[in-house]
Amino acid sequence: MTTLVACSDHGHLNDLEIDGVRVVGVAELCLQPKSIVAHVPEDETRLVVGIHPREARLGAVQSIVRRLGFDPLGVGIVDLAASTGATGLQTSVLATAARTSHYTGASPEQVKLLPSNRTTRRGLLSMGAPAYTGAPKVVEDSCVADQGCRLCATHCPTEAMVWEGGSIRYDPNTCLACGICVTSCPTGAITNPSADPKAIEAEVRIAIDESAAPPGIRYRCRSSIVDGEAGWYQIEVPCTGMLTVGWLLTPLVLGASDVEAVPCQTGGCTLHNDQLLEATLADFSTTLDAFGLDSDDIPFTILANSAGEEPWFGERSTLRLIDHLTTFLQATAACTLETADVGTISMNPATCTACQMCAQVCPTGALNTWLDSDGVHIDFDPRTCVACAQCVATCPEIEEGAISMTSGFDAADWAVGRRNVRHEPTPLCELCGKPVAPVAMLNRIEDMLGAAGRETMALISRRCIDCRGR
Amino acid sequence: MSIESLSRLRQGIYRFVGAGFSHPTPDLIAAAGGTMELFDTLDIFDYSFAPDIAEAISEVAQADLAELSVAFVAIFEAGVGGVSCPPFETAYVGNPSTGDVAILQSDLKRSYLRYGLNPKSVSSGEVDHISTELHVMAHLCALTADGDMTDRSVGRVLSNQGEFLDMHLLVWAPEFIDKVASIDRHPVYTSLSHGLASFLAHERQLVPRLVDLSTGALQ
Repeated sequence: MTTLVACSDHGHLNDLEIDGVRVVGVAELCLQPKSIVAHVPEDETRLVVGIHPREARLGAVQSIVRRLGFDPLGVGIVDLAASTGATGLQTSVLATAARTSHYTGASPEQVKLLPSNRTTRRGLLSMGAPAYTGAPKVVEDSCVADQGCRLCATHCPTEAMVWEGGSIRYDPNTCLACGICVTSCPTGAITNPSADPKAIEAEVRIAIDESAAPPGIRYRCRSSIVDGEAGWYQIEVPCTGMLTVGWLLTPLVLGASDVEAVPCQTGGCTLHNDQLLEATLADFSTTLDAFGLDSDDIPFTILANSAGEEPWFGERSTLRLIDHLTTFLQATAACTLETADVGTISMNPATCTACQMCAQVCPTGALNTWLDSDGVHIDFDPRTCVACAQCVATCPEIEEGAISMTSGFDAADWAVGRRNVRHEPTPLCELCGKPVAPVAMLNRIEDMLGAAGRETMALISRRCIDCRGR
Repeated sequence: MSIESLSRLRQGIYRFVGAGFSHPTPDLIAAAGGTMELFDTLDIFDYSFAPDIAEAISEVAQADLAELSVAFVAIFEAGVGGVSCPPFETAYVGNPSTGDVAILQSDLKRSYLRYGLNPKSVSSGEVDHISTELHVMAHLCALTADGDMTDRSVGRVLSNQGEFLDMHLLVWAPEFIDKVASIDRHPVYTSLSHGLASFLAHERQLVPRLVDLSTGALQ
């Protein structure tokens, strides 16, 4: 059973009857959140609180529910200003409850103190109850930073994630819990209880299923207050700068009538994440155009993705969505994108030495290398490339243009799937028979050594690294 | 809540957890009974660490002194092949062969002197004990709990708190806490380690925020 305690001064509580939800309306709840205490049964396991964000202080509400034994990050907050009519409120309650049902707890490091606006002497004298949100945590087992991936550090707008001492170091004090690291991670190694893809997907699905007609999905950041509008359902995310093309496409494939994202409403985003959102929206539009689709009238609903599978909002969502669209529409779309984590690489055999560094640092395995009696082979699959450009950054022959990356997709290219992008014969060691090195690499070394290195070259061309000392 | 009452709450928590990681005494268990009521008057539930601290207080209040003493020795003082969870900073960050231990202990003593404490009152073997360092933080919080301090003094003491956390407690306590929690030898020490982890994770964010606030107050 879930209990909804909501401020009866707002919304349409009198008309509300929801199966499995005990609805309690409390007058002036927004101003007096302590009155929640009297209305929650002792054995209640799930709580949703309905408040008007312009009147209620989140910190005070969190303090009260904490006193009642609930984890505040696991308590659903329904924004009464965002809900329209009794049906809209009912949808919000059910969708919020669905989102919080995925909450599995947060470690102490994942509880983030939200910034306070009080920076004056008065702030020191009268500090209200602080508000908290979820913070990111790197799951070491899934993180591929040791292979060269730095996407979270590259995308973090405050340098709260940095590569240091052989791993990604996280600084909770510079982190603003914007969620950008979560959506930029190609392996799902960063978790944030306030931006859990499974929880958000559950909310979107219920919002669509429980609405009389498919609603539009409107993303807003946690610091924005946006009044509700008939036909739209609001999804709170830590920051709309974290959205990707995949996160914008997902509601549409789940059946939403439209999707949009509202930039920061607090007088301009100091992190410039609004510009990031603008670029992502442009890429989203470009993607739809490429497939000949209109976000107002998506002609299909993909209801695959049964329970237990990866959520559409999960890692590499843009890739998976575009792959699905390509297959579903049998499309021949192609476009370049600025922000989307979709890319394709090309290699120049005239300058590439087949050293395979690119494949070693690829965090998703889009670039893969293998060796046989024919020599070195490098494969590439555009359907798993997240356009991180680590391969380009690591290439020792980058100045010679050995590898390049284009951010975007080409459906015809995708249809080919994994293909060989480089092959280089490799001589075998005269002593042990193991591969010595790719011919192109030996040629490159020969060029660098010049005439003075002929004897050395004669040795290293014939023997593998293990046999050169014999 | 004012900076004074927040400081009193933080002082109380540092003292309670510091006492919890000292040799168990009848006073520790007897005092635990009223501790939560005291913290409640200081609005502890406004803060994310409240449930973990409440759990630790509850466990201490119900503890059997004899059992607790046995567990204390087993976890922190003796063990086959060495102490399971040495409660000393130098066990985590000092390298005895390079003289780091002595340098660190003398650095700690200088810090204590600078914070208005007499390092001679602490035995040399206890100077880097978790309990000592927690009590030092309690002392620094007690200073900001004094309503008569000037803004400038409050700012200076808050900076000292941040410095001591960054230079000492936050460097080694997380590893110590993980060890105690993973051993799970006695509910008191498991819950104390969870409570301290939660509290220090919060302190890591709160103290710089308070320093910023005090800087704003001085402008």
